[in-house]
Amino acid sequence: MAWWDRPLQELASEPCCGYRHGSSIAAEPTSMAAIALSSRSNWESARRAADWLASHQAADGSVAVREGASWPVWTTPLAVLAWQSLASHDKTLYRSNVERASRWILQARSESAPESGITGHDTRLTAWPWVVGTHAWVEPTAMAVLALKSCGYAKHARTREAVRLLVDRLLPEGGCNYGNTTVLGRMLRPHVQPTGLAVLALAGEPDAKGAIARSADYLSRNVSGETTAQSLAWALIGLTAHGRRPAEADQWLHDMSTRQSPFDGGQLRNAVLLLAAQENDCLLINLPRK
Amino acid sequence: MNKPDPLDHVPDSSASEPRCGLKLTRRSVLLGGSLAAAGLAAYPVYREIVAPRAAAFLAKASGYDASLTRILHDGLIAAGLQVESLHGKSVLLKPNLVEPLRSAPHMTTNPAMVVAAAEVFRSWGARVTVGEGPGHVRDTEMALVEGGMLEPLSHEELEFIDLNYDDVVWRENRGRQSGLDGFFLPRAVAEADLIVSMPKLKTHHWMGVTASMKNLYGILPGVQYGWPKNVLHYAGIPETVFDINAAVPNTIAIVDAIECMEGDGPIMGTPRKLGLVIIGTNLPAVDATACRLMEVDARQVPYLGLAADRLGPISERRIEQRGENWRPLAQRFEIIDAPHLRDLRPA
Repeated sequence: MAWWDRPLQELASEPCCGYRHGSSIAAEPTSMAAIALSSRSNWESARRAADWLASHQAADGSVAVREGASWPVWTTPLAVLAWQSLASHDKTLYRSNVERASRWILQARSESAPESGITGHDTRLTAWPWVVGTHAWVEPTAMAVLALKSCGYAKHARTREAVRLLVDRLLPEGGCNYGNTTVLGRMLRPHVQPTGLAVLALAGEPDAKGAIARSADYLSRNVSGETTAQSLAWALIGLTAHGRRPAEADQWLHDMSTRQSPFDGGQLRNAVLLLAAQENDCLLINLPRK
Repeated sequence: MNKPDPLDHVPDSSASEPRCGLKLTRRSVLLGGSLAAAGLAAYPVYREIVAPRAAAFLAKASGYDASLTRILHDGLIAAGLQVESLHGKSVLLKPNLVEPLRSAPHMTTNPAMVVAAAEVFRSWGARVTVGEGPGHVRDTEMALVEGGMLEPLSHEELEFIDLNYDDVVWRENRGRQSGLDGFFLPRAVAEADLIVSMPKLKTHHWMGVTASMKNLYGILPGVQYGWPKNVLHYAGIPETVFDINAAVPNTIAIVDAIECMEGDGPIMGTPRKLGLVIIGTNLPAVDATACRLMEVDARQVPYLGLAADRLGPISERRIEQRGENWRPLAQRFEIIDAPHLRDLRPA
């Protein structure tokens, strides 16, 4: 029995899931469940998750964070990726949902600001915020870039500007945090999880100044068997997309699956670990290379 | 994008009406009523009498050792907490784990403080959980590991609620200082009988000081407000600190002021030993006391200016100091040289 059989079984039995066991259904864990289940060709369970996302989609195309909520809708790109992950099984599925959601993503825009010198990044660039009406940050922007690339919008002006923004938010020594480089002249620290997601979204992009490679270097230096589940998974997915998967990756994931943690990571933990186990045959990893 | 302008938030010195759960005593009402009748000339006296009062307890603590349990036990009683009413009640301990890093323990609440508080509240029959919604990182398990919190919580069998991802309930904005209609509060926060704000005492590069009131930013879920909780920044940091505190009135404070942070806080500052614990049932009073210990003018901290006499007192005259005398213990904490922080030093 492989280590992933148990989390796969758990995920397949509850593909519409919340952030914790027993909590209300939420778009992020359900989207990641759909992508992970699709990557394992468990189409029936993946469709249950994708169907829930479709039923949860608003008239304007957006998908809110959880059942019963109408905002925020930063989870819309994740729903797109979930629906797209089923396209390899049946190209006709969820086409209307994807079209409406991608249209929403393309019209949604973060707040920009004139250069002030307070922060180190280019505040004039726009991409995607966590909440409409606020500034752009790394993770929602990376999610939107991945979703747009999956829909064939890699060369769209919005995607190009978002890629510039992500590169601009990388720290000079590599890695990124939530999205600030310097504040009041002081350099901030990088973190593994956002860096994993950012380098995933930037895989295949030109890197003349080596900023993306330095961020992949940062991940390579800072991921290990001691890394916690979410950070480990996103680091491995990001590194794999750059062809730099660590040799110990499978052992780390195996150890993680057997590690007892009092922290309830819910089904989202299972989903991202399953995705990190994929060296190929995963929408997230294959996508940026196209 | 963080771009506060503290000068837009000048404290409203004319406001004297206590709000949000602060009660006037019968004596102060009677005195106030008769003085008010004496005419406007007596207004400053009237205001001084009817304005809310509170206590703040201060104890020395040399480190994060076993003596903390006794300090917190005695301090909570001395601060006026009605401990006999806690039996069977749910108590949520809220440490600060904004962006924990093993090599920067002065950034986040020490786990020993949380363990000691849990032991004390459990000894009074309360059901204790620990909750936090880290402001800068989505991997909360990583935050617990880096903050040294995961193992102690497991050892003490303390349930941890990830407030960034908990189910939410909507609460109307009763404070009305920001333009927000209301707040999504984690269910664990909305249902707790008592929330214990347990911040690390730090200087703050936007607000000057961060302690028990600002620590409550961490109760709002990242799923709804983002990482960082940028919705709050756009609505105004001082105003939203006020409104969040007004939304959750059932709070008390235990401040980890043992190993503190000065300079470029709340993340990049340097360690500063103060060796104190501050405890109180009124958060503005506790934070104002913390300011005095750092040689900061509490009135110039924008959210304290807003909270003054509305959520609680910040004037030294209206805060009864219990335990140690703060004056000989005060230290001049370094504050970064920025235009918006230059009025923070007492005249």
